[in-house]
Amino acid sequence: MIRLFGVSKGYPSRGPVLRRLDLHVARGEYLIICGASGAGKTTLMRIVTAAERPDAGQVMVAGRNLAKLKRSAIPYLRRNIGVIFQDFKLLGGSTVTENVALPLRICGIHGRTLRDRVEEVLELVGLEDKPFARCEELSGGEQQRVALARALASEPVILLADEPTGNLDPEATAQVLGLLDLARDRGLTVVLATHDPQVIGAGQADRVLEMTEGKLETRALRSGVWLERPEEPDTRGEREMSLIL
Amino acid sequence: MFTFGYHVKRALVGVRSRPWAQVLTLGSVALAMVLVGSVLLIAQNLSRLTDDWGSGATVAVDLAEAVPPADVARIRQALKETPGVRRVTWVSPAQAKSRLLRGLGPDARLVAEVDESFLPASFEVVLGGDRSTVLAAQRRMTRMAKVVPGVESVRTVETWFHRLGRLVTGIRMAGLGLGLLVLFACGYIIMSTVRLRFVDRRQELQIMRLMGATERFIRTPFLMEGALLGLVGAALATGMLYGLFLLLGSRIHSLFGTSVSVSKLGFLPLSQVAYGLGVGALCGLLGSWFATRSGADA
Ligand SMILES: Nc1ncnc2c1ncn2[C@@H]1O[C@H](COP(=O)(O)OP(=O)(O)O)[C@@H](O)[C@H]1O
Ligand SMILES: [Mg+2]
Repeated sequence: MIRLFGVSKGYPSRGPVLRRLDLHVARGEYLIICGASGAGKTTLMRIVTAAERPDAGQVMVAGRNLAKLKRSAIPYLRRNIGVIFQDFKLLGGSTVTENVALPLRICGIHGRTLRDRVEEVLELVGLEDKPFARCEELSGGEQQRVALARALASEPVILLADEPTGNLDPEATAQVLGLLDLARDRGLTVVLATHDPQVIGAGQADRVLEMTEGKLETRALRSGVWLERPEEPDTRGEREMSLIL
Repeated sequence: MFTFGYHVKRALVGVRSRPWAQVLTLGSVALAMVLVGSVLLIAQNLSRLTDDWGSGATVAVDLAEAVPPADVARIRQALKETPGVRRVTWVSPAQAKSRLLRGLGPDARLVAEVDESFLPASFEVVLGGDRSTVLAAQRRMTRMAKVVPGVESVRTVETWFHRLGRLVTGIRMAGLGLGLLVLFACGYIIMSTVRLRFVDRRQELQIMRLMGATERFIRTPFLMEGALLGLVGAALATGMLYGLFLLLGSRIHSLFGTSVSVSKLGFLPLSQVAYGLGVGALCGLLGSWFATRSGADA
Protein backbone atom coordinates (compact mmCIF):
# COMPACT_ATOMS: atom_id res chain seq x y z
CA MET A 1 0.00 0.00 0.00
CA ILE A 2 2.89 2.31 0.85
CA ARG A 3 6.40 1.79 -0.46
CA LEU A 4 9.42 4.01 -0.03
CA PHE A 5 12.70 3.23 -1.76
CA GLY A 6 15.88 4.99 -0.68
CA VAL A 7 14.01 8.13 0.32
CA SER A 8 16.13 11.04 1.52
CA LYS A 9 14.86 14.37 2.75
CA GLY A 10 16.56 17.29 4.44
CA TYR A 11 15.93 20.91 5.23
CA PRO A 12 18.48 23.63 4.61
CA SER A 13 18.25 24.74 8.22
CA ARG A 14 18.41 21.24 9.71
CA GLY A 15 20.42 19.06 7.34
CA PRO A 16 19.30 15.52 6.44
CA VAL A 17 16.21 14.20 8.23
CA LEU A 18 15.55 10.99 6.29
CA ARG A 19 18.55 9.11 4.91
CA ARG A 20 17.98 6.57 2.15
CA LEU A 21 14.99 5.19 4.00
CA ASP A 22 13.13 2.08 2.82
CA LEU A 23 9.65 1.17 3.97
CA HIS A 24 6.94 -1.19 2.86
CA VAL A 25 3.55 -1.11 4.50
CA ALA A 26 1.33 -3.92 3.30
CA ARG A 27 -2.38 -3.58 2.63
CA GLY A 28 -4.31 -3.90 5.87
CA GLU A 29 -1.22 -3.67 8.04
CA TYR A 30 -1.13 -1.68 11.28
CA LEU A 31 2.28 -0.11 11.64
CA ILE A 32 3.66 1.97 14.47
CA ILE A 33 6.58 4.27 13.79
CA CYS A 34 8.20 5.40 17.00
CA GLY A 35 11.11 7.69 17.57
CA ALA A 36 12.20 10.70 19.56
CA SER A 37 10.71 14.07 18.84
CA GLY A 38 12.44 15.54 15.80
CA ALA A 39 13.39 12.13 14.41
CA GLY A 40 11.48 12.75 11.19
CA LYS A 41 8.18 10.90 11.68
CA THR A 42 6.06 13.83 10.58
CA THR A 43 8.33 14.43 7.62
CA LEU A 44 7.78 10.82 6.54
CA MET A 45 4.00 11.23 6.81
CA ARG A 46 4.11 14.45 4.81
CA ILE A 47 6.03 12.69 2.07
CA VAL A 48 3.38 9.96 1.93
CA THR A 49 0.60 12.57 1.53
CA ALA A 50 2.63 14.40 -1.14
CA ALA A 51 2.76 17.49 1.04
CA GLU A 52 6.52 17.26 0.78
CA ARG A 53 8.70 15.98 -2.06
CA PRO A 54 11.66 13.76 -1.21
CA ASP A 55 15.12 14.96 -2.26
CA ALA A 56 15.92 11.47 -3.52
CA GLY A 57 14.28 8.07 -3.74
CA GLN A 58 10.85 6.93 -4.87
CA VAL A 59 7.47 6.75 -3.19
CA MET A 60 4.52 4.60 -4.15
CA VAL A 61 1.19 5.16 -2.42
CA ALA A 62 -1.97 3.24 -3.28
CA GLY A 63 -0.52 2.26 -6.62
CA ARG A 64 0.69 5.70 -7.61
CA ASN A 65 4.27 6.85 -8.11
CA LEU A 66 4.27 10.21 -6.37
CA ALA A 67 7.18 11.54 -8.44
CA LYS A 68 5.03 11.11 -11.54
CA LEU A 69 1.94 12.61 -9.97
CA LYS A 70 0.80 15.92 -11.43
CA ARG A 71 0.04 18.71 -9.00
CA SER A 72 -3.58 18.59 -10.02
CA ALA A 73 -3.74 14.86 -9.22
CA ILE A 74 -2.51 15.21 -5.64
CA PRO A 75 -5.99 15.97 -4.22
CA TYR A 76 -7.28 12.70 -5.65
CA LEU A 77 -4.43 10.78 -4.03
CA ARG A 78 -5.25 12.42 -0.70
CA ARG A 79 -8.85 11.30 -0.84
CA ASN A 80 -7.50 7.79 -0.30
CA ILE A 81 -5.68 8.83 2.84
CA GLY A 82 -7.27 9.82 6.13
CA VAL A 83 -5.08 11.84 8.49
CA ILE A 84 -5.29 12.77 12.16
CA PHE A 85 -2.90 14.92 14.14
CA GLN A 86 -1.82 15.71 17.66
CA ASP A 87 -3.59 19.11 17.48
CA PHE A 88 -6.76 17.63 15.84
CA LYS A 89 -6.84 20.33 13.14
CA LEU A 90 -10.60 20.73 13.33
CA LEU A 91 -12.28 23.70 11.66
CA GLY A 92 -12.55 26.39 14.30
CA GLY A 93 -16.06 27.64 15.00
CA SER A 94 -17.67 24.74 13.19
CA THR A 95 -19.84 21.96 14.50
CA VAL A 96 -18.98 18.29 14.71
CA THR A 97 -21.19 17.55 11.70
CA GLU A 98 -19.66 20.29 9.57
CA ASN A 99 -16.20 18.90 10.25
CA VAL A 100 -17.11 15.33 9.47
CA ALA A 101 -19.05 16.35 6.35
CA LEU A 102 -16.10 18.27 4.90
CA PRO A 103 -14.24 15.39 3.18
CA LEU A 104 -17.56 14.15 1.81
CA ARG A 105 -18.35 17.56 0.35
CA ILE A 106 -14.87 17.63 -1.13
CA CYS A 107 -15.69 14.35 -2.88
CA GLY A 108 -18.92 15.89 -4.16
CA ILE A 109 -21.23 13.89 -1.89
CA HIS A 110 -24.36 15.70 -0.82
CA GLY A 111 -27.87 15.42 0.51
CA ARG A 112 -29.20 12.27 2.14
CA THR A 113 -26.08 10.23 1.35
CA LEU A 114 -23.94 12.81 3.12
CA ARG A 115 -26.17 12.97 6.19
CA ASP A 116 -26.35 9.19 6.46
CA ARG A 117 -22.61 8.76 6.16
CA VAL A 118 -21.90 11.47 8.76
CA GLU A 119 -24.31 9.78 11.15
CA GLU A 120 -22.67 6.44 10.50
CA VAL A 121 -19.11 7.54 11.27
CA LEU A 122 -20.20 9.57 14.27
CA GLU A 123 -21.78 6.41 15.63
CA LEU A 124 -18.56 4.53 14.92
CA VAL A 125 -16.55 6.90 17.11
CA GLY A 126 -19.31 7.18 19.72
CA LEU A 127 -20.28 10.80 19.12
CA GLU A 128 -23.73 10.24 17.67
CA ASP A 129 -25.27 12.25 20.51
CA LYS A 130 -23.27 15.41 19.80
CA PRO A 131 -23.64 16.16 16.10
CA PHE A 132 -24.24 19.87 16.55
CA ALA A 133 -21.78 20.60 19.33
CA ARG A 134 -19.15 23.22 18.58
CA CYS A 135 -15.74 21.58 18.43
CA GLU A 136 -14.23 24.03 20.92
CA GLU A 137 -16.72 22.89 23.54
CA LEU A 138 -15.59 19.25 23.35
CA SER A 139 -12.92 17.56 25.42
CA GLY A 140 -9.59 16.67 23.81
CA GLY A 141 -10.56 13.03 23.50
CA GLU A 142 -13.86 13.94 21.86
CA GLN A 143 -12.15 16.33 19.48
CA GLN A 144 -9.73 13.63 18.41
CA ARG A 145 -12.64 11.29 17.81
CA VAL A 146 -14.29 13.94 15.64
CA ALA A 147 -11.02 14.17 13.71
CA LEU A 148 -10.98 10.40 13.36
CA ALA A 149 -14.58 10.34 12.16
CA ARG A 150 -13.66 12.99 9.63
CA ALA A 151 -10.61 11.02 8.50
CA LEU A 152 -12.73 7.90 8.00
CA ALA A 153 -15.80 9.57 6.50
CA SER A 154 -14.86 9.25 2.84
CA GLU A 155 -13.74 5.60 3.18
CA PRO A 156 -9.99 6.02 2.70
CA VAL A 157 -7.75 2.98 2.33
CA ILE A 158 -4.92 4.42 4.42
CA LEU A 159 -5.11 6.09 7.82
CA LEU A 160 -2.13 8.14 8.99
CA ALA A 161 -2.13 9.11 12.66
CA ASP A 162 0.64 11.54 13.64
CA GLU A 163 0.99 11.56 17.45
CA PRO A 164 -2.80 11.34 17.81
CA THR A 165 -2.63 10.84 21.56
CA GLY A 166 -0.03 13.50 22.32
CA ASN A 167 -2.58 15.82 23.91
CA LEU A 168 -4.84 13.21 25.47
CA ASP A 169 -5.26 11.71 28.93
CA PRO A 170 -4.85 7.93 29.34
CA GLU A 171 -8.56 7.19 29.06
CA ALA A 172 -8.98 9.18 25.83
CA THR A 173 -5.74 7.66 24.54
CA ALA A 174 -7.13 4.17 25.06
CA GLN A 175 -10.33 5.14 23.23
CA VAL A 176 -8.46 6.52 20.23
CA LEU A 177 -6.13 3.50 20.07
CA GLY A 178 -9.16 1.24 20.23
CA LEU A 179 -10.62 3.07 17.25
CA LEU A 180 -7.37 2.66 15.30
CA ASP A 181 -7.59 -1.09 15.98
CA LEU A 182 -11.16 -0.98 14.71
CA ALA A 183 -10.04 0.82 11.56
CA ARG A 184 -7.47 -1.87 10.92
CA ASP A 185 -10.08 -4.55 11.52
CA ARG A 186 -12.18 -2.88 8.84
CA GLY A 187 -9.34 -3.33 6.36
CA LEU A 188 -7.58 0.02 6.48
CA THR A 189 -3.83 0.30 6.36
CA VAL A 190 -2.92 2.19 9.52
CA VAL A 191 0.33 4.03 10.22
CA LEU A 192 0.68 5.51 13.69
CA ALA A 193 3.59 7.78 14.58
CA THR A 194 4.34 8.30 18.24
CA HIS A 195 7.12 8.90 20.70
CA ASP A 196 5.07 7.59 23.64
CA PRO A 197 6.20 4.12 24.83
CA GLN A 198 2.79 3.51 26.42
CA VAL A 199 1.06 3.88 23.09
CA ILE A 200 3.45 1.41 21.55
CA GLY A 201 2.67 -1.08 24.30
CA ALA A 202 -1.09 -0.60 24.26
CA GLY A 203 -1.79 -0.79 20.53
CA GLN A 204 -2.44 -3.92 18.52
CA ALA A 205 0.03 -3.09 15.80
CA ASP A 206 1.45 -5.70 13.48
CA ARG A 207 4.86 -4.13 13.48
CA VAL A 208 6.73 -1.43 15.35
CA LEU A 209 9.53 0.45 13.59
CA GLU A 210 11.84 2.92 15.23
CA MET A 211 13.17 5.92 13.43
CA THR A 212 16.76 6.71 14.26
CA GLU A 213 19.22 8.74 12.27
CA GLY A 214 16.87 9.02 9.37
CA LYS A 215 16.29 5.29 8.94
CA LEU A 216 13.73 2.77 10.17
CA GLU A 217 14.57 -0.29 12.24
CA THR A 218 12.13 -2.99 13.24
CA ARG A 219 11.56 -3.13 16.99
CA ALA A 220 8.69 -5.56 17.28
CA LEU A 221 6.55 -7.76 15.11
CA ARG A 222 3.67 -7.42 17.52
CA SER A 223 3.21 -4.63 19.98
CA GLY A 224 4.98 -5.57 23.18
CA VAL A 225 7.27 -8.17 21.58
CA TRP A 226 10.53 -6.31 21.38
CA LEU A 227 13.40 -7.44 19.24
CA GLU A 228 16.86 -7.13 20.67
CA ARG A 229 18.39 -6.74 17.25
CA PRO A 230 17.02 -5.54 13.97
CA GLU A 231 15.07 -8.26 12.25
CA GLU A 232 16.54 -10.57 9.67
CA PRO A 233 15.48 -9.48 6.18
CA ASP A 234 13.78 -12.83 5.40
CA THR A 235 11.70 -12.71 8.57
CA ARG A 236 10.27 -9.40 7.45
CA GLY A 237 9.53 -10.77 4.03
CA GLU A 238 7.61 -13.67 5.52
CA ARG A 239 5.63 -11.32 7.69
CA GLU A 240 4.64 -9.25 4.68
CA MET A 241 3.67 -12.33 2.72
CA SER A 242 1.40 -13.53 5.47
CA LEU A 243 -0.25 -10.12 5.57
CA ILE A 244 -0.82 -10.03 1.85
CA LEU A 245 -2.27 -13.55 1.82
CA MET B 1 -23.69 21.49 -9.17
CA PHE B 2 -24.84 20.18 -5.85
CA THR B 3 -21.90 21.70 -4.03
CA PHE B 4 -22.95 25.10 -5.37
CA GLY B 5 -25.13 25.80 -2.37
CA TYR B 6 -22.32 24.82 -0.08
CA HIS B 7 -19.91 27.20 -1.83
CA VAL B 8 -22.46 30.01 -1.62
CA LYS B 9 -22.77 29.36 2.11
CA ARG B 10 -19.02 29.46 2.54
CA ALA B 11 -18.81 32.66 0.50
CA LEU B 12 -21.49 34.30 2.63
CA VAL B 13 -19.69 33.31 5.81
CA GLY B 14 -16.66 34.97 4.26
CA VAL B 15 -18.59 38.14 3.55
CA ARG B 16 -19.81 38.26 7.12
CA SER B 17 -16.39 38.10 8.71
CA ARG B 18 -14.53 41.44 8.81
CA PRO B 19 -17.68 43.45 8.05
CA TRP B 20 -15.83 46.77 8.04
CA ALA B 21 -13.46 45.63 5.35
CA GLN B 22 -16.53 44.73 3.31
CA VAL B 23 -18.17 48.09 3.89
CA LEU B 24 -14.99 49.93 2.98
CA THR B 25 -14.49 47.84 -0.12
CA LEU B 26 -18.07 48.22 -1.27
CA GLY B 27 -17.95 51.94 -0.52
CA SER B 28 -14.81 52.58 -2.50
CA VAL B 29 -15.91 50.38 -5.38
CA ALA B 30 -19.30 52.10 -5.47
CA LEU B 31 -17.80 55.60 -5.29
CA ALA B 32 -15.31 54.86 -8.03
CA MET B 33 -18.10 53.51 -10.20
CA VAL B 34 -20.35 56.49 -9.43
CA LEU B 35 -17.57 58.69 -10.75
CA VAL B 36 -17.54 56.88 -14.07
CA GLY B 37 -21.30 56.60 -14.17
CA SER B 38 -21.79 60.32 -13.61
CA VAL B 39 -19.43 61.20 -16.45
CA LEU B 40 -21.37 58.89 -18.76
CA LEU B 41 -24.65 60.27 -17.43
CA ILE B 42 -23.54 63.85 -18.12
CA ALA B 43 -22.49 62.97 -21.66
CA GLN B 44 -25.76 61.19 -22.18
CA ASN B 45 -27.93 64.07 -20.99
CA LEU B 46 -25.88 66.71 -22.71
CA SER B 47 -26.48 64.81 -25.89
CA ARG B 48 -30.20 64.44 -25.17
CA LEU B 49 -30.68 68.06 -24.16
CA THR B 50 -28.97 69.40 -27.23
CA ASP B 51 -30.68 66.99 -29.57
CA ASP B 52 -33.30 69.54 -30.59
CA TRP B 53 -31.08 72.58 -30.36
CA GLY B 54 -30.66 72.16 -34.06
CA SER B 55 -34.24 73.26 -34.77
CA GLY B 56 -34.38 76.92 -35.63
CA ALA B 57 -30.77 76.91 -36.78
CA THR B 58 -30.44 78.90 -39.97
CA VAL B 59 -28.21 78.63 -42.99
CA ALA B 60 -27.67 81.46 -45.43
CA VAL B 61 -27.19 80.39 -49.03
CA ASP B 62 -25.70 83.35 -50.91
CA LEU B 63 -26.37 83.49 -54.62
CA ALA B 64 -23.98 84.65 -57.26
CA GLU B 65 -24.67 87.87 -59.24
CA ALA B 66 -27.25 87.78 -61.96
CA VAL B 67 -28.49 84.25 -61.56
CA PRO B 68 -31.17 83.40 -64.11
CA PRO B 69 -34.62 83.02 -62.51
CA ALA B 70 -34.77 79.38 -63.64
CA ASP B 71 -31.64 78.56 -61.65
CA VAL B 72 -32.96 80.44 -58.62
CA ALA B 73 -36.13 78.33 -58.76
CA ARG B 74 -34.08 75.15 -59.06
CA ILE B 75 -31.93 76.10 -56.08
CA ARG B 76 -34.99 76.86 -53.99
CA GLN B 77 -36.46 73.49 -54.93
CA ALA B 78 -33.23 71.65 -54.05
CA LEU B 79 -33.05 73.38 -50.68
CA LYS B 80 -36.67 72.59 -49.90
CA GLU B 81 -36.15 68.93 -50.66
CA THR B 82 -33.19 68.56 -48.30
CA PRO B 83 -34.21 66.53 -45.21
CA GLY B 84 -34.32 68.66 -42.08
CA VAL B 85 -35.24 71.87 -43.88
CA ARG B 86 -38.31 73.60 -42.41
CA ARG B 87 -38.51 76.83 -44.32
CA VAL B 88 -36.75 78.52 -47.24
CA THR B 89 -37.08 82.32 -47.50
CA TRP B 90 -35.91 84.54 -50.29
CA VAL B 91 -33.89 87.52 -49.06
CA SER B 92 -33.55 90.22 -51.74
CA PRO B 93 -30.55 92.58 -51.78
CA ALA B 94 -32.83 95.37 -50.52
CA GLN B 95 -33.98 93.26 -47.58
CA ALA B 96 -30.40 92.29 -46.91
CA LYS B 97 -29.40 95.96 -46.76
CA SER B 98 -32.17 96.93 -44.36
CA ARG B 99 -31.26 93.98 -42.12
CA LEU B 100 -27.66 95.05 -42.17
CA LEU B 101 -28.59 98.63 -41.30
CA ARG B 102 -30.73 97.44 -38.42
CA GLY B 103 -27.96 95.22 -37.20
CA LEU B 104 -25.39 97.98 -37.21
CA GLY B 105 -27.52 100.50 -35.32
CA PRO B 106 -25.64 103.80 -34.70
CA ASP B 107 -22.89 102.81 -37.13
CA ALA B 108 -25.43 102.45 -39.92
CA ARG B 109 -24.28 105.73 -41.49
CA LEU B 110 -21.15 103.96 -42.75
CA VAL B 111 -23.05 101.70 -45.10
CA ALA B 112 -26.13 103.84 -45.70
CA GLU B 113 -24.76 104.98 -49.00
CA VAL B 114 -23.79 101.52 -50.22
CA ASP B 115 -25.63 100.43 -53.31
CA GLU B 116 -28.00 97.50 -52.82
CA SER B 117 -26.54 95.63 -55.75
CA PHE B 118 -23.32 95.12 -53.81
CA LEU B 119 -25.15 92.83 -51.45
CA PRO B 120 -25.94 89.34 -52.74
CA ALA B 121 -29.37 87.92 -52.92
CA SER B 122 -29.70 84.86 -50.73
CA PHE B 123 -31.95 82.15 -49.36
CA GLU B 124 -32.41 81.93 -45.63
CA VAL B 125 -32.96 78.31 -44.72
CA VAL B 126 -34.44 77.39 -41.33
CA LEU B 127 -33.57 73.87 -40.18
CA GLY B 128 -35.30 71.54 -37.77
CA GLY B 129 -35.14 68.04 -36.36
CA ASP B 130 -32.55 66.40 -34.18
CA ARG B 131 -28.90 67.25 -34.21
CA SER B 132 -27.74 64.61 -36.61
CA THR B 133 -30.37 65.58 -39.20
CA VAL B 134 -29.47 69.24 -38.91
CA LEU B 135 -25.78 68.43 -39.18
CA ALA B 136 -26.39 66.33 -42.25
CA ALA B 137 -28.46 69.09 -43.86
CA GLN B 138 -25.74 71.61 -43.16
CA ARG B 139 -23.13 69.36 -44.66
CA ARG B 140 -25.17 68.93 -47.81
CA MET B 141 -25.72 72.65 -48.21
CA THR B 142 -22.09 73.47 -47.64
CA ARG B 143 -21.20 71.16 -50.46
CA MET B 144 -23.51 73.14 -52.78
CA ALA B 145 -21.23 76.19 -52.72
CA LYS B 146 -19.41 76.70 -56.03
CA VAL B 147 -20.72 73.36 -57.26
CA VAL B 148 -24.37 74.11 -57.89
CA PRO B 149 -24.60 76.82 -60.56
CA GLY B 150 -25.65 80.09 -58.99
CA VAL B 151 -24.65 79.31 -55.38
CA GLU B 152 -21.79 81.53 -54.37
CA SER B 153 -21.28 80.60 -50.70
CA VAL B 154 -23.02 78.95 -47.77
CA ARG B 155 -22.81 80.36 -44.26
CA THR B 156 -23.69 78.04 -41.40
CA VAL B 157 -23.26 77.84 -37.67
CA GLU B 158 -21.55 74.53 -38.27
CA THR B 159 -18.61 75.17 -35.93
CA TRP B 160 -20.83 75.52 -32.91
CA PHE B 161 -22.62 72.32 -33.72
CA HIS B 162 -19.50 70.36 -34.32
CA ARG B 163 -17.92 71.60 -31.15
CA LEU B 164 -20.89 70.37 -29.14
CA GLY B 165 -20.78 67.03 -30.85
CA ARG B 166 -17.08 66.74 -30.15
CA LEU B 167 -17.65 67.73 -26.54
CA VAL B 168 -20.16 64.92 -26.04
CA THR B 169 -17.86 62.41 -27.72
CA GLY B 170 -14.94 63.70 -25.67
CA ILE B 171 -16.84 63.33 -22.41
CA ARG B 172 -17.88 59.82 -23.39
CA MET B 173 -14.27 58.91 -24.20
CA ALA B 174 -13.04 60.40 -20.94
CA GLY B 175 -15.72 58.41 -19.15
CA LEU B 176 -14.60 55.18 -20.77
CA GLY B 177 -10.93 55.91 -20.10
CA LEU B 178 -11.75 56.74 -16.52
CA GLY B 179 -13.83 53.58 -16.45
CA LEU B 180 -10.85 51.48 -17.44
CA LEU B 181 -8.77 53.08 -14.72
CA VAL B 182 -11.51 52.62 -12.16
CA LEU B 183 -11.91 49.02 -13.24
CA PHE B 184 -8.31 48.37 -12.39
CA ALA B 185 -8.67 50.20 -9.09
CA CYS B 186 -11.82 48.26 -8.17
CA GLY B 187 -10.21 44.98 -9.17
CA TYR B 188 -7.27 45.85 -6.99
CA ILE B 189 -9.40 46.82 -3.99
CA ILE B 190 -11.41 43.62 -4.25
CA MET B 191 -8.25 41.62 -4.69
CA SER B 192 -6.84 43.03 -1.47
CA THR B 193 -10.03 42.32 0.46
CA VAL B 194 -10.39 38.77 -0.77
CA ARG B 195 -6.70 38.16 -0.26
CA LEU B 196 -7.01 39.31 3.34
CA ARG B 197 -9.58 36.66 4.02
CA PHE B 198 -7.76 34.05 1.98
CA VAL B 199 -4.81 34.55 4.29
CA ASP B 200 -7.10 34.69 7.35
CA ARG B 201 -8.40 31.25 6.53
CA ARG B 202 -5.07 29.77 5.51
CA GLN B 203 -5.21 27.06 8.17
CA GLU B 204 -8.71 25.98 7.27
CA LEU B 205 -7.75 25.83 3.60
CA GLN B 206 -4.65 23.84 4.43
CA ILE B 207 -6.83 21.30 6.23
CA MET B 208 -9.09 21.10 3.20
CA ARG B 209 -6.10 20.52 0.95
CA LEU B 210 -4.96 17.68 3.23
CA MET B 211 -8.36 16.09 2.76
CA GLY B 212 -8.05 16.20 -0.99
CA ALA B 213 -9.81 19.43 -1.88
CA THR B 214 -8.92 20.67 -5.35
CA GLU B 215 -7.80 24.26 -5.81
CA ARG B 216 -11.04 24.88 -7.63
CA PHE B 217 -13.05 23.71 -4.65
CA ILE B 218 -10.98 25.93 -2.38
CA ARG B 219 -11.12 28.99 -4.60
CA THR B 220 -14.74 28.88 -5.69
CA PRO B 221 -16.24 30.64 -2.65
CA PHE B 222 -13.58 33.34 -2.82
CA LEU B 223 -14.27 33.89 -6.50
CA MET B 224 -17.97 34.10 -5.69
CA GLU B 225 -17.25 36.59 -2.95
CA GLY B 226 -15.17 38.73 -5.29
CA ALA B 227 -17.82 38.68 -8.00
CA LEU B 228 -20.48 39.46 -5.41
CA LEU B 229 -18.47 42.42 -4.09
CA GLY B 230 -18.10 43.77 -7.63
CA LEU B 231 -21.76 43.23 -8.41
CA VAL B 232 -23.06 44.77 -5.19
CA GLY B 233 -20.58 47.63 -5.58
CA ALA B 234 -21.89 48.32 -9.06
CA ALA B 235 -25.49 48.02 -7.87
CA LEU B 236 -24.80 50.47 -5.06
CA ALA B 237 -23.19 52.81 -7.55
CA THR B 238 -26.25 52.58 -9.78
CA GLY B 239 -28.50 53.36 -6.83
CA MET B 240 -26.36 56.30 -5.73
CA LEU B 241 -26.18 57.62 -9.27
CA TYR B 242 -29.93 57.37 -9.64
CA GLY B 243 -30.41 59.24 -6.38
CA LEU B 244 -28.02 61.92 -7.57
CA PHE B 245 -29.85 62.08 -10.89
CA LEU B 246 -33.23 62.57 -9.23
CA LEU B 247 -31.82 65.19 -6.88
CA LEU B 248 -30.18 67.22 -9.63
CA GLY B 249 -33.12 66.68 -11.98
CA SER B 250 -35.50 68.28 -9.50
CA ARG B 251 -33.19 71.29 -9.14
CA ILE B 252 -32.28 71.63 -12.77
CA HIS B 253 -34.32 74.81 -13.19
CA SER B 254 -32.66 76.60 -10.33
CA LEU B 255 -29.30 75.54 -11.68
CA PHE B 256 -29.63 76.20 -15.40
CA GLY B 257 -32.86 78.15 -15.76
CA THR B 258 -35.96 77.16 -17.64
CA SER B 259 -34.14 76.68 -20.92
CA VAL B 260 -33.55 73.09 -19.84
CA SER B 261 -36.61 70.91 -19.99
CA VAL B 262 -36.70 68.23 -17.30
CA SER B 263 -38.67 65.89 -19.49
CA LYS B 264 -35.65 65.68 -21.77
CA LEU B 265 -33.41 64.34 -18.98
CA GLY B 266 -32.99 60.61 -18.75
CA PHE B 267 -31.09 58.05 -16.72
CA LEU B 268 -28.59 55.67 -18.33
CA PRO B 269 -30.36 53.11 -20.51
CA LEU B 270 -31.02 49.72 -18.94
CA SER B 271 -28.55 48.04 -21.28
CA GLN B 272 -25.76 50.28 -19.98
CA VAL B 273 -26.74 49.63 -16.37
CA ALA B 274 -26.73 45.88 -17.01
CA TYR B 275 -23.38 46.24 -18.73
CA GLY B 276 -22.05 48.13 -15.71
CA LEU B 277 -23.24 45.44 -13.31
CA GLY B 278 -21.66 42.75 -15.46
CA VAL B 279 -18.41 44.63 -15.67
CA GLY B 280 -18.45 45.12 -11.89
CA ALA B 281 -18.94 41.41 -11.26
CA LEU B 282 -16.26 40.50 -13.80
CA CYS B 283 -13.84 42.93 -12.25
CA GLY B 284 -14.47 41.40 -8.80
CA LEU B 285 -14.05 37.94 -10.24
CA LEU B 286 -10.71 38.85 -11.78
CA GLY B 287 -9.55 40.54 -8.58
CA SER B 288 -10.35 37.49 -6.49
CA TRP B 289 -8.88 35.23 -9.13
CA PHE B 290 -5.57 37.00 -8.72
CA ALA B 291 -5.95 37.02 -4.93
CA THR B 292 -6.28 33.22 -4.85
CA ARG B 293 -3.82 32.15 -7.50
CA SER B 294 -2.11 28.89 -6.57
CA GLY B 295 0.75 29.57 -4.22
CA ALA B 296 -0.81 32.85 -3.19
CA ASP B 297 -1.20 31.57 0.35
CA ALA B 298 2.36 30.31 0.74
N1 LIG C 1 9.53 22.72 7.04
C1 LIG C 1 10.65 22.47 7.75
N2 LIG C 1 11.71 23.30 7.63
C2 LIG C 1 12.83 23.08 8.31
N3 LIG C 1 13.00 22.08 9.17
C3 LIG C 1 11.98 21.22 9.35
C4 LIG C 1 10.75 21.37 8.65
N4 LIG C 1 9.92 20.37 9.02
C5 LIG C 1 10.62 19.63 9.92
N5 LIG C 1 11.84 20.13 10.11
C6 LIG C 1 12.86 19.57 10.96
O1 LIG C 1 13.02 18.24 10.61
C7 LIG C 1 13.22 17.45 11.77
C8 LIG C 1 12.22 16.35 11.80
O2 LIG C 1 10.96 16.91 12.04
P1 LIG C 1 9.66 16.03 12.19
O3 LIG C 1 9.53 15.20 10.98
O4 LIG C 1 8.55 16.93 12.51
O5 LIG C 1 10.00 15.12 13.42
P2 LIG C 1 9.02 14.30 14.35
O6 LIG C 1 7.68 14.32 13.76
O7 LIG C 1 9.61 12.94 14.39
O8 LIG C 1 9.05 14.94 15.69
C9 LIG C 1 13.11 18.39 12.97
O9 LIG C 1 14.40 18.71 13.39
C10 LIG C 1 12.44 19.60 12.40
O10 LIG C 1 12.94 20.75 13.05
MG1 LIG D 1 5.92 15.07 14.53
